[in-house]
Amino acid sequence: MDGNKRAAHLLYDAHKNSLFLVCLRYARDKSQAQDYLQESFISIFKNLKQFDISRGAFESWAKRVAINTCLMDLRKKTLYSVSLSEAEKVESTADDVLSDLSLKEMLALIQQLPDGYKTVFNMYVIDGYSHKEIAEVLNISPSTSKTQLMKARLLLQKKIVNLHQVLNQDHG
Amino acid sequence: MDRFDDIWKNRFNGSDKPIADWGVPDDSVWEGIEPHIEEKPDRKLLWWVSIGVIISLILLFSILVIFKNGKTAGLTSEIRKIEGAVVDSQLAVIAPKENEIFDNEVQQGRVEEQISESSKNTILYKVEEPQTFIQTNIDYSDHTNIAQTNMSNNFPHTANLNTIYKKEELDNLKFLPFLKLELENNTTPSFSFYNIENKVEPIKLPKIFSIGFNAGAVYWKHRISDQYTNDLSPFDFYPTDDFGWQAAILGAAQLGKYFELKSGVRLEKVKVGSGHNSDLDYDPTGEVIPNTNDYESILATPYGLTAASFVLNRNIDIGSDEVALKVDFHSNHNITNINVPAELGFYPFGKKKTITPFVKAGVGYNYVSKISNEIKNIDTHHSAIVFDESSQTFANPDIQNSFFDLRAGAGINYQLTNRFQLNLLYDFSRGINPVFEQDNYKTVIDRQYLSLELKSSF
Repeated sequence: MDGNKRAAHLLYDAHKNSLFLVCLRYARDKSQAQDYLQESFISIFKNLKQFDISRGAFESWAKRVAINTCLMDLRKKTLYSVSLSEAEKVESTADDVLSDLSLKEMLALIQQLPDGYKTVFNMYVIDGYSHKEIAEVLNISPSTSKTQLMKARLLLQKKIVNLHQVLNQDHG
Repeated sequence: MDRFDDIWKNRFNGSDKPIADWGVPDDSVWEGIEPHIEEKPDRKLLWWVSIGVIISLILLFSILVIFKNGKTAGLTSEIRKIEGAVVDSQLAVIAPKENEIFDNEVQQGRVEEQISESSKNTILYKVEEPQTFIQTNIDYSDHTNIAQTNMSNNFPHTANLNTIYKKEELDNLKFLPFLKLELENNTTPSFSFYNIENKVEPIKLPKIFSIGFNAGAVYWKHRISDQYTNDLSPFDFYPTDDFGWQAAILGAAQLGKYFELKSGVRLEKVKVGSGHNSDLDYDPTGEVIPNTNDYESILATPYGLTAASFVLNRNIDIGSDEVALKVDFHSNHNITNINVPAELGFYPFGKKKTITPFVKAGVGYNYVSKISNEIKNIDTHHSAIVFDESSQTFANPDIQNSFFDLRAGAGINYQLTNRFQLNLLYDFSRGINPVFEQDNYKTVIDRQYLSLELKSSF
């Protein structure tokens, strides 16, 4: 392995797990997340010159690259439309149940969301984007972003409650 | 929702992320990355180097031709530097060479033959109105008097400064270099008629500068990256290349007989199309407005994926079950581009009075001021569900407004009059940098032009 590759491998080892977690959140499954991670690191190494240390830590920059990579793919796959008139009737929140879930269980819940809900939920709740930023990146209106987020939250709560009921039945 | 959101945020952004097998990528991920780490040559740098090489070659070629032309054509090349002068095989213009004393003094005569080898710098010359020319005396109050000489029979002509000549002011004629005032001493200066080596050609010497108007058709062709077309291939994405119109105001400078520098500002208006298919569900139970479903969708265009909203109307009862549609989107993209070309034209046979072919090459700067999208049609392939044309919105794409191009062309120049020229031109332009770029998704624009150009020299 030459110098460039050795340095790249060190960088990869240091950040692969944290970036993989980002990719897992946006992906449907582990296989897709690995594809995202691979594309993300290729993009990171390609654009390494653009990283400006004065503008923040490498991890934050790399995370943004990984999110953008995931979004690129998701945007390709969301050429189908979602009828806005679909209204989800979901039950109320179950925050206490959520606190008891493991990271893996929480990740599984996110991965089960439809792509549109999942993307907005990830960007807004976990990655700290505003609705305006989400609207610009996803080419949707801010109100659509808000609607998608609301639906994502409701769907997650529904799934958490269902999961809780299943677990209770198992234990009962 | 604050607590609910906070739990998610803290768990995924917290420092105590447990890493188990499910959270660790396989080794195959690194194996896929490794081949991409080798440094590739910078494509942008290669482009600029190529442009530099082309410009250098054009300059080198120009210098060689000009040098060769200057060496063999002698005074002929000097003549062409004189703005507004007229020379043909019969007519010569006689005047002091760029001489301050004889401002505005010019006279016409006829070139009849060349004097012997030993008098290489003379021509046989006959004044058109010799008597008037010689015999009329006008007082030049502010000039030195010039001696009158019979110029009709003796060659080379000489004149001394003691005789007053008639002042003949001929419109549009200025100084030519083949008459030289040789002030060898103060008392007997003389005119020498320089040999122009039979190169008094039957041409109107071109005026140096010209302005013009150019208009015609432009063909706008997309060069889309493989990655983009491949990723969109499941949706049967297609871009349509199409014709539009263009008009330009141009300025040109003639550089000798063979070269011309040209620049200007061109407006291009083109409407191109694109389309693809997509899955769409119509939900009769979800109709907020009766018989209508609203949609928001991402549509593919040659300039990226862009948000659109539209309405599908249901015109007959289809029950309450959701209908899965495979729809075809057809879109139009209206483009306004401002182009600033800089070109060097080359006339391989020299620029002549009659029809002259030429070739040219150069670079262009482009500012795409606007690309506006519209959904032309949505074919639902379902008799009960139709697209409502009036309801659409289609966001404009996020493009890179500026791009450069390399261009080459050929044409025919026709000298209509001494002042006006008509050009018929074909140009090809190849985009250097993309008008749309998002990672590996790129669209570069190539164009072809067919145009007519009217130029006026001054």
